[in-house]
Amino acid sequence: MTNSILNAIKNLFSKPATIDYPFEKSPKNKEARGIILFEEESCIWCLKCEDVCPPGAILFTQNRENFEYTYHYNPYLCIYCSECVRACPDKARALSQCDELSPPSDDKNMNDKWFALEKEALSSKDECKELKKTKRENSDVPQQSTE
Amino acid sequence: MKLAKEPINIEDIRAKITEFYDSSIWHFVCINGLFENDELEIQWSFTKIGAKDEWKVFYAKVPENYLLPSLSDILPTAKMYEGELRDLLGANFEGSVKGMFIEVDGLENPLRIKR
Amino acid sequence: MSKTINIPLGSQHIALLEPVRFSFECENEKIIGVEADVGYVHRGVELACTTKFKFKQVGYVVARVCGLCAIIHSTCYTLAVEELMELEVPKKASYLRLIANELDRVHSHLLCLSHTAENAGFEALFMRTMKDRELVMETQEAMTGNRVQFDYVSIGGVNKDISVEIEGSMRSKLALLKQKVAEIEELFLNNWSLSLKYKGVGVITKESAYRCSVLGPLARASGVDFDVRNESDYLPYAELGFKSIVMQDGDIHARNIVRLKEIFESIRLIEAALDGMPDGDIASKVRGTPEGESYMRVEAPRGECFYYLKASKGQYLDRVRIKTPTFGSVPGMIEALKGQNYADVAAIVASFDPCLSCTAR
Repeated sequence: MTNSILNAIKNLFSKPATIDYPFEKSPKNKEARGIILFEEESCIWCLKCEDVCPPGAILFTQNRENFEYTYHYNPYLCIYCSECVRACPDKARALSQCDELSPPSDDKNMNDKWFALEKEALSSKDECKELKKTKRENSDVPQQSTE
Repeated sequence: MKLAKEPINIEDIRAKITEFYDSSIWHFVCINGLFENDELEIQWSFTKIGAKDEWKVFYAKVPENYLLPSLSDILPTAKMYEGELRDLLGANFEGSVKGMFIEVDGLENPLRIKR
Repeated sequence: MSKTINIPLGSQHIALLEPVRFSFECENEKIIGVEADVGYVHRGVELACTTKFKFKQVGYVVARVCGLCAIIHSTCYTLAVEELMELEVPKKASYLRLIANELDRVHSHLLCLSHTAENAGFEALFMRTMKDRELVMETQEAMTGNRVQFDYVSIGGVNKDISVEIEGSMRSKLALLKQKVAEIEELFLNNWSLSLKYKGVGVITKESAYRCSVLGPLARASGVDFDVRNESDYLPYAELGFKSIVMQDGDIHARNIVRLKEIFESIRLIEAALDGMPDGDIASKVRGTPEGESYMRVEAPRGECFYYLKASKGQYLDRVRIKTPTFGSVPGMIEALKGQNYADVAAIVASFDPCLSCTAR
């Protein structure tokens, strides 16, 4: 009986266990995993990060004229596992992870744009491979005719 | 890890497991099924209680749509595994009913799809 | 022959956390027959693991089968693949994997105990246990980076290391947690309406536990000393001195006490692992592709989790078979429900601790 009276008085003077959510921000741990940052100058375009990503959040599309790659990243598909950071080779180190989470967005066409980008990534790589093969065959043929 | 895999004829499976299984020595783990080269392979696996990772696996290969004998009176847990394999692989165990995971008029035998 | 009626405990119910449907055949409030229907959340994980994802990515897919035992699935798959590829894992990585597994066990048992308290009508204890569980969630966030789905285990080792200040904060939080759980244990042992009124209700006898191959805390509360941690060498439990906890009665009260004492044993294992942590790398390099067959099991908070893999030298696996503990315990649960009153069913189902996302993958 005395135990319960002592507990009641102790609880009367202690702070609540919850925080006042909209008026106070929720606490963030500095070890939390967040979105991936990309440095274009150090990248060597080996495409290993695109191979390893489990949900497919990193895509590379290829330009059909000068065969250069462009990097696309979807922070809403990313699971923050940092496999891409570990897969990037030692001489490049172009990817790193910060502790910010992806911000909320109200873009209604976000899904359609990303699905179109996936198709574009596959088709642009196939077409560039074909273009390179025909270019190499065309540059071989004139040499054979002069010999 | 000690693994002992033993091939067995599908007709003798009930007699063999009734003779082998003693619930204070062996622990029944799972019934497993594979589909390769148009043949089903079913595995029954047991481990020894108290020993470090000692496995005993019986396996049998049957043509697809063969009527397989059920073990649910010797091992009550086998009823759940047989129902699951009937739904997903099409392994026709005696006394099993479709509809545990997939609806009765839904997709047929999804685990037979190869890449 | 008297008349019987069928009463359902439907797929949506206040006492259930996840959808499962039972249909009871009752005669004047005593249950005579039970039919169970699991499989409401089937997502086709086994097919996805062999067709859409490569073998390095399957570890992240499989962790999302269940929310409460996520790291157990990930660890079991990784151990099976490392055996197929014959990789050596550094000793420090094994110790870190053991610490993550035991932290997961502590938070899962605290969730089950708080749900039991809510079903007994004791809502203040439910909120208080959840507040104490926040200490464990903060520890997990400091160690792995996330609170529930820690993508911590990958092929070859673990992803993140422990620094000295993280270890210090872990030790102080665990010491505080031991005091709080001791207060909760005193309530469970002495309060009538919380646990003592359920002595003799929902009993699984020792013979039926052997016959139905019941797993995990359900078996250990009925007198069957069966624990995968005693029978497997892949994680260093034997070096740290592990003892399993067994009680003889088999009713709801015995299961609650087994889970409470397992929390203390897990905290002791974590502190022993932090004391004896070896030095070294946290991961080794991965080369090649897997080939062959492998069988592996690990102890989840609810029982024994089993994986079978078959591969033949490619980037994609041939067959992945997952067996989860709740799926194997369903016949045992059906045996325990026969002969009980209908009014006790909510408390009995909560004491089995069913995880339906694991059951119907």
